[in-house]
Amino acid sequence: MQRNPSPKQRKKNCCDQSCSCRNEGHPSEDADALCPCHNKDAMYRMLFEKSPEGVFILESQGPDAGKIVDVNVAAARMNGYSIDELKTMKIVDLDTPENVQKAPSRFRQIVDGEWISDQIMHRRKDGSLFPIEFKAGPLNINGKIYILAFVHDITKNKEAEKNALESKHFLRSILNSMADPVFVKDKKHRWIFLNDAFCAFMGHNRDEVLGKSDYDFFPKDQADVFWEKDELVFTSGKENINEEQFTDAKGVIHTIVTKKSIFTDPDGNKILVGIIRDITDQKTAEAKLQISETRFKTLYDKAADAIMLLAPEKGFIAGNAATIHLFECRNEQEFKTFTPDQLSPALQPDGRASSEKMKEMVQTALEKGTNFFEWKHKRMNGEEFFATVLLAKMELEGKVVLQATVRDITETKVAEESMRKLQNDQQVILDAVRAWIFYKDKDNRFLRVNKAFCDAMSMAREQLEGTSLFDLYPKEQAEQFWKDDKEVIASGKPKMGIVESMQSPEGLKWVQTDKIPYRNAEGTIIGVIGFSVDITSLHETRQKLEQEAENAKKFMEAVEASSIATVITTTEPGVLYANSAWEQLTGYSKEEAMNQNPRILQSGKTPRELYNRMWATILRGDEFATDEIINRRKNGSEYNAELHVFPIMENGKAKYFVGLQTDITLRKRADIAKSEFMSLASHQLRTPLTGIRWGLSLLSRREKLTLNQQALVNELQQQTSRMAESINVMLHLSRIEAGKMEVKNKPCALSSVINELCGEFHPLAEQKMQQCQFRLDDSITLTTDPALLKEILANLITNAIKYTPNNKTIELTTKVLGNEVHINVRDEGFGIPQDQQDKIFSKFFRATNVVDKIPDGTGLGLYLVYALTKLLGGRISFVSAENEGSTFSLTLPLTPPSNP
Amino acid sequence: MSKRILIAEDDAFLVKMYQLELQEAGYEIEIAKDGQKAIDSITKKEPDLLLLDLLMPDVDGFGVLTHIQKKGYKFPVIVLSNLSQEIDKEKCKALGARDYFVKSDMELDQLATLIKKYV
Repeated sequence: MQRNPSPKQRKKNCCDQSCSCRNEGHPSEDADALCPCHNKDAMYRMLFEKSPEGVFILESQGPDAGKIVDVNVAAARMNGYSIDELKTMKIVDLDTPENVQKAPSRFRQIVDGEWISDQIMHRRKDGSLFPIEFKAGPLNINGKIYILAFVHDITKNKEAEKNALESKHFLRSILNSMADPVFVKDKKHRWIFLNDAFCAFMGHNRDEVLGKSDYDFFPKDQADVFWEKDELVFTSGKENINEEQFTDAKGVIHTIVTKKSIFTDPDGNKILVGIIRDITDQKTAEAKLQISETRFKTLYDKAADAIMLLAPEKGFIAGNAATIHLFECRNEQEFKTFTPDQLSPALQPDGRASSEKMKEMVQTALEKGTNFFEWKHKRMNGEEFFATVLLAKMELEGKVVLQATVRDITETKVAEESMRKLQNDQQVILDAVRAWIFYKDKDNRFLRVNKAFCDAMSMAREQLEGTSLFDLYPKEQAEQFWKDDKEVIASGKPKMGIVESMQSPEGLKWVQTDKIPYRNAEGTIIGVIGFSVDITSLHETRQKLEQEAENAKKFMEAVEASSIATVITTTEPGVLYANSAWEQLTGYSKEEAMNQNPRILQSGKTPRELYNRMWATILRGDEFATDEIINRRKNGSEYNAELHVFPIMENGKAKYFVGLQTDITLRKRADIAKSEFMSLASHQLRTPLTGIRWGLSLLSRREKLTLNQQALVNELQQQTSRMAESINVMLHLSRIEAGKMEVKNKPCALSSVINELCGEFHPLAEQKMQQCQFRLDDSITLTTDPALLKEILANLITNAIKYTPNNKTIELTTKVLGNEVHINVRDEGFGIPQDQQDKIFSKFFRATNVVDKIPDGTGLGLYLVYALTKLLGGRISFVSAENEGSTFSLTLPLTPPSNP
Repeated sequence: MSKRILIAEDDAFLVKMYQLELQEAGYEIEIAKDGQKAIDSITKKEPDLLLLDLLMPDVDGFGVLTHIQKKGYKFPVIVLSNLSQEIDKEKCKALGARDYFVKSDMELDQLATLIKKYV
């Protein structure tokens, strides 16, 4: 320490008159004895008291050693005590325990004349510790040795020192943590500092490198280069950056850049600070970058997408090969002369001006960073095309530009169009299907529906699609429908044949639905596809069928219980069903009858013609065939039956035959009895009638009668012949009814049969001045009973003449249609009133409009015609209008049908 | 010589009518009031023509026809009956009757013409 001269030196100086020790707070030690220049006690006292340095005077020996004898203001302030307090204390009261221990030996050293100094810690009155530096030595006052101690608070020094240390450490840390090697060389090119990175770079410990030079580590020629560069920096004082290559201990070639600068240290020495950057990696990266740049350039040039750079407000500043090709420019130069507007048609598909819309697109890209949109472009040759455009904002050399990637999507559009068409086709197909088809998503919303479904719901497709089932149905029902959906979605398995009822605008509907998972292209289930078939009618049909089955059962029961013997047969093999009444009537059990031909019942006594007639009627299929037959029971007994047969038609053919038999044996017996009675009665009536007639005839011819008598006799003759006729008809009918009328068929020419009749009617017609026109087809030959046919026709012709006024025409025509003969008898007579036409063939019926005009009718003629026509297997019908006339049509088979 | 006609008829009034009508025409009339009497008459002497009723006491018309057929008589027989059934007509024809008329349907003045056809 410069300020503190050695005690010997100071002692000598102090006693010198030219002493300047006052400036240095010279202590007032034995001034009177040793140094006359320091005699002035007050001056020393002031110095002592005003000194910024703490000064203690202590006892040096004996039990009081260390006791503070005197102390100055600075010392008191430093320790936080008052001077008076300190004067009652020992110096060790201010020490830390370790110093207390050292104190006795230090006191002895001082008593032995030694000055000692140290840095120790003192404790203030408040207990806090602070560092001090003291210097203590002996003070001889009047022969008594005291200890004089100068104490200096070094808190600030210590802090500064600590700070310095810390900052030095900090600097080293920074240097060490730097990836770049840093070194410091002195003028002699020796390393005097190096960081961890440099050590690593050199591959040596710090200790191995410090103090050494390049020559200790590098080959001479390389070291020479380093040395030269260092020297250059030292001499020029200028910074030097140099790229060098060297091979490290491991044989790896490094490229390094070394930046060397000159600094002057506090002592004025020049030092060289070098920072090395190993740019081997960077170089590699650069090389790589160059490669990737090439790659990028290649990509850029070869890219299928047109990539271009657009400077907003300016136009295109670059475009790759695809761009040039896309817009059909000659080259990039030409391309760069365009703005986006010029490469677009005037209007975009939405009708907006391209220029205006493009501004908006660019603005959006600038604001958001990117913008992707569809755009209609125009090539240089004027051709327009659809493209997608991706605008991406980027900075290029500090300026904002947009990179635009344009992709021609004409083909995509075409594909989209065909996809749309395909979807449309799909829709057409979906719509053509009568089943309801719907696609639903996971939220019970309809995605797609077909026409049948729309129709069923009475809603437009637009209304349905996107609509949730919950919007269409009460919650409960919607939940019910959805339950299946959820099941299908969860399981991924179809659910088939769900039958549900639902409300529709047309009422309750029954549907059968199949639901299958609806998967997207990736196979993920995104909903369900449903196919519903309206089975309402099926359902109703089923119910109807059940009802019908129920009815059929009832009918069956009724038929079973019926007293009418009923049998159902087919042509092959025969009986399918017979009821109990049939069993009773025939004596055959159902089991015996089953599959038998019903002919087993035939007795052989029923005329074959009758069966033939019935068959003809049955096979026409339009009416019951009814007749009376004689059948034979299983036991051989015979019975009369009224047989009704009707066919059950299927596809226009008689498939089943239902036969109903009523036992009419008793009735038949009665009929026969009646017929026999009629025969007898008529015989008994006829005999007197014959007498009357013959008598009248004799009277008329043999006696001379007056005119009046003659007229009366004529009248009587007419009455008796009418009576005879009535008897004939009634007898005839009773025979027909008793089944006693036999049909004798033989081939005959129709025209000759009719011509035989002609003569009979001619006189009558002539009498009424009527014209009889017979238009006959001479070629017609039929097999029938000519006598019965004559009787039928005679009745029809007689009626025609009788019920037609004078001077009218009667017409008879014949023709063949198919295998039938049609004979029409047309008159211009009174006709049959409409309301009575259905009774015309009834027994004893006479139309009201002729009863008075023609009184001599029996009401049996048309009944007889009807009965005889039936016997011949024919049909009789008529059309008539009152006062206009009637036409009766008789239809007979050309040949009587044979029993199949 | 007038033709001899046998009339087998049980109804007296009709017999009278026959007689009135046929005597006028110059025929010799013989009456048999039942079948047996007719057979007897025929056996005694064959007539030129027989007008035969069917329903008569004792032997009826069919019996008479049967007898005639059996005996092989060749004189014509005309049945005049009030039975009008076909079956009767056929039966008579089968037994050799030449003709058959229902009396109540026949006019008396036709009788002479009819007989003339056969005798």
